[in-house]
Parts: sequence; structure tokens; C-alpha cells
Amino acid sequence: MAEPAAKTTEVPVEKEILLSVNNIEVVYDEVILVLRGISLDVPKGELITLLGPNGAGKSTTLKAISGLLKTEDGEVTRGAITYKGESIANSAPDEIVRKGIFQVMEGRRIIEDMTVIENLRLGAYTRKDRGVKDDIEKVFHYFPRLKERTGLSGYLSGGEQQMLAIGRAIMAKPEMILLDEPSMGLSPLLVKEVFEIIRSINKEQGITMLLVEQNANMALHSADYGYVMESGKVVLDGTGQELLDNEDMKEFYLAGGDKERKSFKNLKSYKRRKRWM
Amino acid sequence: MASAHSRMNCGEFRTTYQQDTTIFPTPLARRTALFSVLFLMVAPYFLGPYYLNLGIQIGYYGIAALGLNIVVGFTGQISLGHAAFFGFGAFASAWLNNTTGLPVFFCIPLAGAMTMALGLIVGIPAGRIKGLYLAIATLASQYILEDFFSRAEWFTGGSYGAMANPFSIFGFEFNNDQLYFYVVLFYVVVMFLFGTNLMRSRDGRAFVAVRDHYLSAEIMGINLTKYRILSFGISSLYAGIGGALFAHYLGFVSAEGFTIGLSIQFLGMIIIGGLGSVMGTMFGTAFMVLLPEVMEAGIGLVGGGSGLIQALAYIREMAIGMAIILFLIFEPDGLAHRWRMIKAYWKLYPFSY
Amino acid sequence: MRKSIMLGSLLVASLAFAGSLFAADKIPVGHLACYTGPTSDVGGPFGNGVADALGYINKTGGINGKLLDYDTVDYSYNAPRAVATYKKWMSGLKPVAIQGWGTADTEALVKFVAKDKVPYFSASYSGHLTDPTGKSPRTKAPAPYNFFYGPSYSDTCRGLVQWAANDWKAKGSKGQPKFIHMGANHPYPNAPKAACAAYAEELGFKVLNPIVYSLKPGDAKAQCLTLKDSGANYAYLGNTAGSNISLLNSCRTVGANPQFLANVWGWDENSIQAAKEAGDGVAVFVGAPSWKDTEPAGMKTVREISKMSDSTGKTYRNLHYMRGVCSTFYMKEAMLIADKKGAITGEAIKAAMETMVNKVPTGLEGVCTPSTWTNEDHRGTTSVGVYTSLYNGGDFQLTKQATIEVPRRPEWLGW
Repeated sequence: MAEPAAKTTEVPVEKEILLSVNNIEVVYDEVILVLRGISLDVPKGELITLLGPNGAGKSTTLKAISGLLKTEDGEVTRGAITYKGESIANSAPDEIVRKGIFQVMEGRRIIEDMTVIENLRLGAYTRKDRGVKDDIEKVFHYFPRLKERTGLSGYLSGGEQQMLAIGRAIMAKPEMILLDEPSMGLSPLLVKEVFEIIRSINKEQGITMLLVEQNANMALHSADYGYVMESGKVVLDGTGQELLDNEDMKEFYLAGGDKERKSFKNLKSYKRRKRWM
Repeated sequence: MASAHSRMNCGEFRTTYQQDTTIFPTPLARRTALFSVLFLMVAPYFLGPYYLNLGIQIGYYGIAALGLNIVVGFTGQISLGHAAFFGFGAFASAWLNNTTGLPVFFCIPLAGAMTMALGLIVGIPAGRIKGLYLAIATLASQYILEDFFSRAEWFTGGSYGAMANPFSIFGFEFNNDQLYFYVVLFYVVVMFLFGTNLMRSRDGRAFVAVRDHYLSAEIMGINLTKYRILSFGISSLYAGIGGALFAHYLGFVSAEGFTIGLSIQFLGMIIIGGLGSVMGTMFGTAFMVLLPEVMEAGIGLVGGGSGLIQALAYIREMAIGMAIILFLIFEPDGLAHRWRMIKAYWKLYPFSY
Repeated sequence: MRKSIMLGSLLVASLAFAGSLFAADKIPVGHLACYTGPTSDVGGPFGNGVADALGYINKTGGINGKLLDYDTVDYSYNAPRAVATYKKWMSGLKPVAIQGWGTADTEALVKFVAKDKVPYFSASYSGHLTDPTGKSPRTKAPAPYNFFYGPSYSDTCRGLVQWAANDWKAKGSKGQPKFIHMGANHPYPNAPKAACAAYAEELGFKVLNPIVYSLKPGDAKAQCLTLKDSGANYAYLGNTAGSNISLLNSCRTVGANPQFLANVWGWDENSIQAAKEAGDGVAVFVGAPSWKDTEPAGMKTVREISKMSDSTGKTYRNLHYMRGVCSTFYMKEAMLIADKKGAITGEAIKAAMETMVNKVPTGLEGVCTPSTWTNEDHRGTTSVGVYTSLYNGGDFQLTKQATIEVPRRPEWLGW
């Protein structure tokens, strides 16, 4: 049996925490409990990944942060979401964008009736400064192939649409980007390319990122720190390398392993620091 | 001679970002627009009053229809009460002119502003509801306003209606169709440029985003409620100005003219023209205004007694409904789409693929 | 490029040409009809009467040999379309007179016809159209070129109220009679409201609060119960026939049965057939003899006119048809006078109309009521023939009760 990774419990004190999610509960339609006490910290400038199987509540966590929950009749009923020391739980999505958090939704969601440039300009919706043109160039620097596309963005390939969605996020000049499954529906080669670009945007632009993924291997290789969710709870966390090395992780997400054990719940070795308020 | 033959562009390609966002995407489009306006500038001198009248009708209906297209085509909402706003603009302008004596020149934009204010108020529920519920809410506003028109004697002259003076500025009256044609043309150019410009502005992109992906729009910092209400406001501004132009042209405003039937007709115009297309709105309006006239002329050519005229009169009424159905089936993107196809063909001429 | 210029000029030329076709030796006349649209139930027969009369005039030699060049257009009670048609005519046909229809087209065109000097004959009987000079303080704008055949809505209602007052006395009823106005909040039912109430009060009626019922036919029991509770003895129905039929049915059900009074569009042969016994006893102003009435000499002419569109002569023509014929024949008479004096122009037709004193068009004796127009007073007639109707198992009867001559008071001009 593998030993639990004891080091995971230590959060470096010197790091400035940009976003902190503390023990939140989310209820949809006033009856369906989806998140049951999620906590995570996103230090400034880092790339944090949130892993887990389908239905674990990863996207809901992102929506709780970005405020989209409200539009979908959900609500944060307990706990706190703090951004730069300010509570943002249950704020309207457009207010949260103005505070500097920008979500790239799952399934790309670009506006197909607009050109690439128009989509990028739309990303800069909240900005009032004159640097928009330069930033379009910046996006094309990261995604050169978008520059060649002059038609409506509905005609872009899946990978290009994902790139446009990320590019649109850069246009908003956010301090933090929430990325929901950027690898979905992309070929392995393209996934690699996209992740490399995400990492370099994170490092070069200094944009903090919270990345939700099912492709754990790829995500952990890029991430500074990772959280693993299951059934609305965080069950494991650690640095990218720690999680890659973690035996349980290997079994479940990375290399298959023993087929009998289906969940972390069955693991006796599972241990996690509890962070109650 | 360095080069005997001049270089011919095969297709129209953009080389700067500015080109992508100008009002007129190609030099040809710019020339066409300019030429059309110049043509219309001289039109009153050789068009007979009948054609001028049709031109004026297309003008004021077109402005109002563009407003509806902003709500339906650009923001993806629905309004069944557009005729009521059109009527409000008509009454407002006549009322301003009759009570304050302000020249009609100023009353028209003021009536537009008043209608916009009303649209913003009516738009408040629109910011929160969608689809069928919104359709019913706007239908309610249609009936409420219709009732208001026949009751508010101080404002509309009640059920009798109100007289509207001819277009005037400081004692100079535009009392013939030639002059009035220019007034309408001015507003058409201004309102359509504003509409086209709106669509390439930050707010215009926000409208389209709200329509296509309201969740995406939200996460880009767009306040859905604000834009839904705003689109009603802008649409009402258009309706109000169209209505005011209508009032001072006809000279008489009566509540009977602004029924649900006219609201549906406005919807027909933008469906036939193309939802979300500024130019298409013009095509659709022209189609709807000219169709009965062309049918009428057709009846005239066929000749015959009053019996035939009566029979064909029904066919003419049905033709409008028929046209809407045929467009929905065969050309759901409207005349604007057909126009784009023709343009695309010429743009890449002689290599169409 | 050259090709497109040529094409363009060809197009422009053909457009211009299309508008300039008209024969110089004919008398151009416009006819705006409402065959489709909300008022087509009564607009149809009226329009047919006008169209047949125009055809008949040509068939019988026109105006001293000059034929009418007339154009019938169905405008579907749509004011903008009426204006569009008018402009089309002014650019091509250039009519010297127009036979119009209802409130929508008449009101929309008042100013235009005044400016272009085109006499406009219509079936919109609003009081304000009777004031050609605008001297009455009640008229908002003068209507110098508007003419209609028949008493105005206000005078019709006054006539009915006068008849009601006589009826009250004749029956020997005691106490003060109560009068009530019923109708939708719409220009047409509202037109005579104030004028009629004022006269009713003058005649000693107690005028009750008006009752509003929809112009669209539907259940009106609530209104009928209100009517019953009000204890009104005479109720004026301001709406059109369809709505009145449903109101009378509802009132019969709840047992509200005052003496109903209806104006010219509120009751006709079709309504009698549709309402059956519920409509028995309604007192109505009838502007012309009915088709069944063979006595008047003029009915022979009417039957000939009817053959213009019905060669069998069997089609039943209702009262609206007769009024369409009368309206057209007054125009014909004016054209004859104008022609005698010189050219048939709009101005000359107006002037000729204003010379008529107790005039009945030749050939229509007993059909059209003698009418008088002056240059200051366009109240053609103020005589109101009151009839009561009886369903009689389908073989309906219209029984003449009285002819009320409403006084032609100067202060009632335009009201």
C-alpha cells in the first residue's frame, strides 16, 4: 500500500493568496445540493488545476466563483469565496468580470456570427483603455493561426475555437482566468499545444489560472498545484509533481491500475487535512 | 511600358484590422451606398408623387422595422407591441407640436426620445423574462397602449385622433412630398448609419453576444438585464421616430392605425428582410410596402369589372401572408441572405469557388 | 458600366411613363372602397353601389357625352394605403372627384383634398365634416371639399332622440324618460355622444352614464345587466351591426329591454336576419327605401343600376347599396351643372354642389332624400326617417314610424 503524501498539507506561507474558496456549499433550484464543502486556495500568479471525474462538481465550483451560478438558478448557501480579501460569493457575473476574474466556459462558446476580431473585441468589453489593438496582436502572438482566419468564427475548427475562447479571455486583461476543460474534444497533439500556450500565458502575462480538467496527466504537468474532487468534495491535493507521484492518483487517473477500487472512498490510505472554518 | 496590363484583383481581401470593422466592408459597398444616397437625392425631381409616396412609406416603416430588428434580430428577444410604440411616437410628435408650438423639426427627435423612455420602462420586465413569456408581456403592452391612445384625450385627442401639422422649421413649411421625401431620407440615412455603426460598436457586440450565448455574454462582463432593456429602448427610439415621420406625413393620427396587425406586419418585414441584418430590414420593408402595390398594378393590367377587383383584393391580402410563409420555408435568412450570395458571387468573380 | 446606366435610365423612363397614361377627353374619378378589412361587411355593399352607379352613368351616356374614367381601389380600411392611393391618383389619373368610404380614409385625406381641391364624397358622417369654413368653434379644421349624403351621426342621433320624446308622449308614459348612450370607445360610436346627450337633456330626458361595449361581437351580458339596472327607457346603440347583434342577443337573455335606437351602420337587413326575434322593435334610421320597396319611382333606376354587376337582377341589395348609389348620383348632378357652366374641375364640382337646394338626383326620386348644400353648411340633409324592424320568421319588415326633421340650428354646424 502506498503511503499518503504527508507534505500536501503544507501551504507555503509566503505566497499571496489571490482567491480563496472556503468550505462552500452550492444548491441548485433550492433543493439539489451539488457542492458539500469545497475549499481551495489559488495563489497569485500560479496555475492551479482542479481534477475529478464527471459530476464531481468541478464546473459548478468555477461557476460559483464566476457568478454564473445565479443565471442557472444556483446559489452559494454556505461558506465564503474571497477574492483579494473581498467576499464575492453570489455576486453578479458582470461584477466579477470587472473585479478581474474571467471564465472560459466549457464547450468554447464563441459567438459564431462574429469574426475572430469581433470576438476578441467582445472579450475586451469591460475595458475602457486604448490598448485593445495591441492586445489583439498579443493574442495573435500566442495563436498565430487565428490571424489568418478572417471569416466568421463559426467556420473555425474546434481547436481554433478553443484558442479563440482563450484569446478572448486575454483580451479582458484579467488577473485571473478560470478555464473549464480546454482539452475537451481536441486531438492529443492539439491538447499538448493548447496546454503549452496556457502555461506560457500564465508565466509571461502573469495571469493566475484555475484550470478544470479531466485530462489529469496533461493538467498536472502544467500545474503548480492540484486539487482532486469527487462527489462535491475535495479528496486530495498537492503540487503537480506530488500528485503525479501519488499512488492513488496513478491508479485512478494516470495509469489505470487496480480495477477493483473505484473510488477514493475505498482507500484506507486516503488522508486529507480538514479545513473547517 | 512597364506593365501593359493593369493588375486585376481577384476577389476582395482585407489586409488590415480596420478594414474588418468599417461600416462599408468593401469599396464597392461604399460606392453603392454613396450612389444610392445620391440617386435618392435627385429622385424627387423625376419620380412622380406616387413613387415618392411609396418611397416615403418605405422610409418611415423601414426606420421602425430596423428598431424591431435590433430587439429581435440583434438581441434575440421578441416584441409583439412594436406598432404601439410606432403609434406613441406619432402621437407624441403631434402632441408636442400642437401644445407647445415647437416646430415639427424639433418634435420628431423629441418624440423619439419620449418613445425611448417609454420603451425603457416597458423593457424592464423584458430584462427578466424570455421567449413566450416575453411575447405575451409585449402583447400586453400593445393592448395597454392601444387603450391609452383611445382614452388619453389630452395627449392623443382620444378616440377622435389628433391632427398633425406638416413638417416645418421656423415658419418654413415642407408642405409637398418632394421636400418631405428629403426629411425622411435624412432620417433614413442617419438612423441606418447609426444602426450599422451600433452593430460594430462595443454595445452592438454585446447585443449579439446576449442573443447567441447569454452565458458567454455574462462571463464577459455583459449585464444581461441592462442590454435587454437597452435594446427595447433603442428599438423604441426607432419606432418613435418612424411614427413621428408617419404622423407629419399623413397629417392625421388615429388610434385605429396602430393595431396588433401592424405589429405583425413589422415582424413580417424583418423576417422577409433577414433577422439581424440592417440592409435586409430595408429590403424587407420595401418588399412589404411594394407587394400590395405591385399586385394592385397586376390587377389593373388584367383589367375587368368590380367582381374581379373584389376577388383579387383577397388574393392581395393573402399574398402578404403567403410571402412570409414562403420566406420562412425557403429563405429563412431573408432577402439579405440572397443579397449576400449575389455579392459573394461577384466578389470572387470570375472564380466563384 | 455603360450597360447598367442604360438599364437604369430605361427603368426610370418606364416608371415615369407608367404614371402619365390617362385619356384627356374623359372625366377622371377615383373610388376608394373597403371590400376587405374591418368594415367590409357594410363597405362591400356601399362600394358595389358606387361602382355600379359609376358604370351605369357611363352606360347611359356619361356626363353630357363625356365618359367617366374611374378607378376602383380597395384600401382595406388602411389609412396609409388610402393616402398612397390618393397620391398615385394625383400623379396619374388626376381625379376631379373621389368617392371614398369611411372614417379612416376620409379623416386622413381631409387636408389633402382641401389643398388639391378635389371634392371627396364619403360615407363618414362625422359632424365636423359639415363645416366647410371652420367657423364653428367645435371644428378643429375646416373640411371645405368633403361631402356626404345623409344626416350626420349627430343629427341622426338627435332625430332618434326626438322620435323617442314623441314616442314617450304618445304612449302616455309618466315621469321623466331616461336616455343612455352605448358604444365602444372609438371615434365612430363617440361621434354623436356629446351632441346627442345635450339634445336629449333639452328634450327633458334624464341622461344616464354611457355604457361601453366592444365593437367586436362577443358576449355582452354584463353590459346588459348594467343597462337593466340603470332603468333606461331609450338606449342608443353606437356600434356597427355585428356588435349590436350580439348585444341584443345578450340583452334578450338577461331581460334588458328598453327601446333600442340604432344609426345607419348599426342595423340593416342582415342584422335583422341574424338577430332574429332579439332585434324586434329596434328603431333605426334608414336613409333609403329597401329593395323590397317598389313604390318609389327611383327604384326602377336602382334596379337597372344593380344589373351592372348582376345581370339576373335577382341579387338583393341592402340599404348601404342605395346610399352608395345616391352618393354617386349627387356627384353626377354636380358634374352636369359644372359642365353646363364650363369645365368639370374639382372647384366647379364643389361650387355646383353648393348650389343644390332640396335636390333629388334625376331618376332617383323617392330613393334619395332631398338635400341642400351651401358654401357655409355641408349638412346635406337633417331629415331622419325612423323605422322599426320586425324579424317576422325571416320575412322581415321595416315599418316607417316617422320622418323627423331635425332643426338646422347654426350652433350645431360641425357638431
